[in-house]
Amino acid sequence: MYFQDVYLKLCNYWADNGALIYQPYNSEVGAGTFNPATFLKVLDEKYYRTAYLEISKRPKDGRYAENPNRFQQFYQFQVIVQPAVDDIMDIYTKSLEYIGVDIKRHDIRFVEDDWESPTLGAKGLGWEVWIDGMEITQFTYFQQIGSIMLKVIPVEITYGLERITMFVQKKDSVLDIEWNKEYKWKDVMLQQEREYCVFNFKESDSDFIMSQFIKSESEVDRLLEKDLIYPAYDYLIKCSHFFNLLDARGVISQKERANYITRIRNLAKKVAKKYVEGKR
Amino acid sequence: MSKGKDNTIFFELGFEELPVSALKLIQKDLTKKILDFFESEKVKNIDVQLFLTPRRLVLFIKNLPEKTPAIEKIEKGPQENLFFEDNRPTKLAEGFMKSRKLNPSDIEIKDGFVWYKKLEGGVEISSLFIKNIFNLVNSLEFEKRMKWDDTNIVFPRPIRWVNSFFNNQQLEIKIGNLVGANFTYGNRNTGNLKIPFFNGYDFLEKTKDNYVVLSFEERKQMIVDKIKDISENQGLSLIWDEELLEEVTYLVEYPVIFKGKFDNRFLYLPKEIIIAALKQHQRYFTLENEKGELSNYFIFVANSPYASYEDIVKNNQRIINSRLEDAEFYFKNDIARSMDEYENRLKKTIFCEGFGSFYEKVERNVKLVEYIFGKMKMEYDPQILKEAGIISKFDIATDMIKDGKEFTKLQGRIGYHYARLKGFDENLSKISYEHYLPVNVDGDKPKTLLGKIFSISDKVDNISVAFVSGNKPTGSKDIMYVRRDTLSLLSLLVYENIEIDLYEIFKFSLELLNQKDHLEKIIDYVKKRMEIFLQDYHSIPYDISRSLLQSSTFITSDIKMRAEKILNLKNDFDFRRMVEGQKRVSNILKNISHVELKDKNFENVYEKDLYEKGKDVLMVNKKYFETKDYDSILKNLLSLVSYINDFFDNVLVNDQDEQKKNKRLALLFFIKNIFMDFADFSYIVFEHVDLKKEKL
Repeated sequence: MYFQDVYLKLCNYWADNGALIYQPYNSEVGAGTFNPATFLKVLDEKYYRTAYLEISKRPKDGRYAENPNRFQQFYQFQVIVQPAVDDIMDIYTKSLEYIGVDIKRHDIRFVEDDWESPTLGAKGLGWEVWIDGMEITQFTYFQQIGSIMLKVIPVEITYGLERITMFVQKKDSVLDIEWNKEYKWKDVMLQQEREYCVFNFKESDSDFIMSQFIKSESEVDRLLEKDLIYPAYDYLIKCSHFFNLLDARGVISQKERANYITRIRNLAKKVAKKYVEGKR
Repeated sequence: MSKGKDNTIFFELGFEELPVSALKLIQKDLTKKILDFFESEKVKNIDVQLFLTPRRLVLFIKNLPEKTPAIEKIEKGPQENLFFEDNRPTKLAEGFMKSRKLNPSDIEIKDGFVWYKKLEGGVEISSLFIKNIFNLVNSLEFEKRMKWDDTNIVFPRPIRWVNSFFNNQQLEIKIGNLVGANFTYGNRNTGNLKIPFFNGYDFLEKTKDNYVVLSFEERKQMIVDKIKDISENQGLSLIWDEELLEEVTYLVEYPVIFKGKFDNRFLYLPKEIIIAALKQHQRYFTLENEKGELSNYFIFVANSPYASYEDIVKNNQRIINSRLEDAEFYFKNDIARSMDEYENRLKKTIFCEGFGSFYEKVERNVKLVEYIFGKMKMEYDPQILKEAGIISKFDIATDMIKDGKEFTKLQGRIGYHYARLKGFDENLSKISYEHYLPVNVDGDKPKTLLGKIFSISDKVDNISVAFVSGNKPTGSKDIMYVRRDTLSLLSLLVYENIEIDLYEIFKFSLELLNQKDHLEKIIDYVKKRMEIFLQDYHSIPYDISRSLLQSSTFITSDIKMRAEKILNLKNDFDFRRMVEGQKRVSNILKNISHVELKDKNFENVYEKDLYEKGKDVLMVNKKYFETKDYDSILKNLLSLVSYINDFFDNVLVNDQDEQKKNKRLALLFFIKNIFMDFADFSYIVFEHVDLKKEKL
């Protein structure tokens, strides 16, 4: 099964399970949780199911494509099921069967991993899902988003698309994943992966990014005052990405780090609060 | 249903995979909670069997009666005159009787009040159980709980099924939205089948058939046996790790053991790094050959009875190779950095807000080390000390420790390996981990002198910074690990016989931080910990410790030595006389400021004898103190007692003549100080104090 088929199959599976098929966000994010289809929509506290691809950018995790498993950009398949249902774990494991995993022949494990996004003020309890020792999914019952405690609890299921495909295709490296009949993952991604690693670690202009961070930060407040919640949230996402870039360049000291995270979390809190107030 | 005491409750709580820490907590505390609960209902001598897997908690409670014992109690009710009017019950009385279901025969009038019979107990065990069991489980101190549905129920992970039986009778237990049923689930990896059962008795069989081994011990044994089997075949032996074994046993319902191997080109990496990569994240066991060298084979435990051997091994091998590549990435980058770069990185890494970077912390540690060497009349090349300081902390700034999550526990060990690779000699490199030792009282101590002194300095500075930065330990809060550091400091000083005065050290340490105020508080705290340390680890009672902690110096190794001498003598009659002798002296001097002994012309023979004897004891003891001959000192002090008693029996201290009185007080201060050079014995407590002698 090709990489793109894993994606298409997951779309079909979750569409059959009532999910609205959404799209990746048009701004750099570290995880599918940042997409407003998760961050804002779960605050509605009503029945909601969605599934979408997300392009996850984590500048610090780049390894110049020299490690088979670590990249500064990879693809997530994000699912939200709100409210959580009793047999959600079974529904999830059936999705693995749907993409051709004979689960009885393998070792599927739910390994404790409480998820937290300090920048989003988001917390949940759950697991990493392992298949034969490889982490393929993050499975979380959200408890808090934007520092707001949730009354209706959603489950977030985040598949690592490359990881699962490696498993399905029995590949030793993400680079060797067959995207479709003609292309491998490296054919599509290798050049950009390497260039971004150089950019993230060596060439990004810290002063420029810092000034962007500061401007974006105040933009969130300005836009919120005008009740423009989605545009304000965009600038929060930018702040988070700028922070990740600065962090990858190693220009943020430990003390400053905590400080930046608090600043972004405060923005997330304001956005979430405004969003919830608007719904009342 | 049986009328006797041979009833059994079966209970199963099914949940989504519970964290190991929660399972351990249940294992540790639940049985006692249940026993205590039944005890409070007067149900005793029951048998509680608890089984735990990641997905279920199973209880068999045996030897239960059908009902709790019924007890009749007489309770006091309202006043008689409120209850009866003209010999007829009032409205209040009717309501009272009705609400408590009382008959007229249950009531008695006495002393102007109504007394009534009340029956307690006699409750059906099964209903008592189903009402309380979940609250008992959930009253354990779980670290985290969560919500997962529209009820307000919380638990460490979602609960998905519940079953309970009283003998053969299914109980209608309710937990949140769930009601007791008669089906369970098999092992998740064999299809998570829904399995009906009839009662607790066939449950064991049915679960076993579906690859669930309920007993922790049985699963553990399965793992141990199979690992031995696999490894010994190849002349390899398991690097035993009880903690890992326990964790892995809690992670599976049916252990299946596999052997895999990683690329042997990684074997050049420091052994600890490889073991951490295998253990911390993947929970793999490591093996070594006959020579004690790490093998590139490893063992892992799966939860999958139908697993395909080849696939599962290959997949696990792929993962560990990639984890080791990640470790190698950190390793190569770390090694490529110069010590100067690390120095710069330490300057940028905050130690504690307001108290500088790790570089400044290292500078303080080094100054403390120099100070201690100075006190020990030893000299050390300052250049080497500076180097040692950087070596002790530079690994905090390595990528391996900063970014490599599974490697952070290797702090200290990483520094050692890197220092060796950078060409520092063995002893100097060891500073990196030795200065953290001992991690607990019985833990390994630093072997090198530098390691010991750096360890002391590091801990003294940690403690001082915690106090001055407002992070001293309070209640259960101790974010800077002051308790651990203090205990570690005390045990190091005591067991390694390092004679330094903690007053001086902490005073100097606070000077380095430009602080003046906190010395008293720190010393008080450390003294408290010293008392606890001596009590907990050496069975030295608090009174003895206190008698020795009144001194103006605070030398822990010496305190322990003296404490043991006192402890040996505590039941000795002569010693008791001596303590009482000192107490007589101390009592009379209470609330009197010190009087210097100037006029030594005593008119009275008792004064004169006491003075002469005191002078003699003082002089002889001086010599004994030099050789720490504490037995002789105590003996010598003992010889003072009869002189003290003679003095008190024959001399009136509070003489009307002010001059005489002052001279006598001065003499007593002189005598008191002779005792105080060893200990303030007035803190010693005897179980039956002879009060007669205390009356002056």
